[in-house]
Amino acid sequence: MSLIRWNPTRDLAWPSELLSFQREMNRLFDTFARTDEGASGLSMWTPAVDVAERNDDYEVRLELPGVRKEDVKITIENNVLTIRGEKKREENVNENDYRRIERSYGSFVRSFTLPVAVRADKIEAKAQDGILTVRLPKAEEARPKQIEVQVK
Amino acid sequence: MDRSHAVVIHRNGSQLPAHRPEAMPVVVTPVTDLYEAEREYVVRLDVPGATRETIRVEVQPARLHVSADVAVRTGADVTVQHREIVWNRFTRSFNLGPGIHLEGITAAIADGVLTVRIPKSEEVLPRNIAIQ
Repeated sequence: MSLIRWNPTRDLAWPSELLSFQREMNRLFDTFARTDEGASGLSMWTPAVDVAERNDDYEVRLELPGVRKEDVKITIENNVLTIRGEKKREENVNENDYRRIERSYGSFVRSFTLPVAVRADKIEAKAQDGILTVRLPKAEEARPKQIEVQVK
Repeated sequence: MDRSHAVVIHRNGSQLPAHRPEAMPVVVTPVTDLYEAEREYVVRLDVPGATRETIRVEVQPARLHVSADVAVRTGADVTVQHREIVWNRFTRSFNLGPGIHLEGITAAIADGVLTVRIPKSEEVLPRNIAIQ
């Protein structure tokens, strides 16, 4: 099972009103379609993520609203960064009292293969306002260097 | 590679500028849960990146309106490898029916989740009738 995330900027050539309507409809459907029964029977969802590369490090940002720090696990192995966790429902609410459920909950996992070696011991992660930011410093030999070439 | 502007590289190879001009907010609708408790309605919206300072909750006689601007990451020294978070504004409106105590509406935000509590008005609250 692999869920391909729909890319909202693909249709940038369209007029902006049509684009935003289409984007909104697709996003609403995407939100419902993403919730899926995982192999373990727990519902699964896919958080949105940005990956940015800078000279000295990578920055990975995930939208994890309502996910507690204790419920997130970040691991790195062979230059593959894996972020997994669980978003829990409020416990004291009876299922029958819900009038509308749109938010996803349950387990999530996202993995990234980093093209460049990173210093695993210096990885930092911060959770703020529902956004998890992971900073991965690049290994010394992987940083871009200016090499002077003498022209003879 | 030219690093003077951020590019978005998709798996199919297309390249788009990641920087969006300020005049063009990208608006999305935050997903919402709503449940009914004995004395109030509780509305929960996912607004990751919004804070107490950036979120606005407006109450009108028949409408509740929530909006928040969130920061989109760009930077001169950044090459964006993968971007999915393209929106920078959350907006949603809810119609409020009768049986609601408007002045008692409260809102709190934590970890990117906004919780709005809408108390029911006195007339619709269940009352116990004492048996003589």
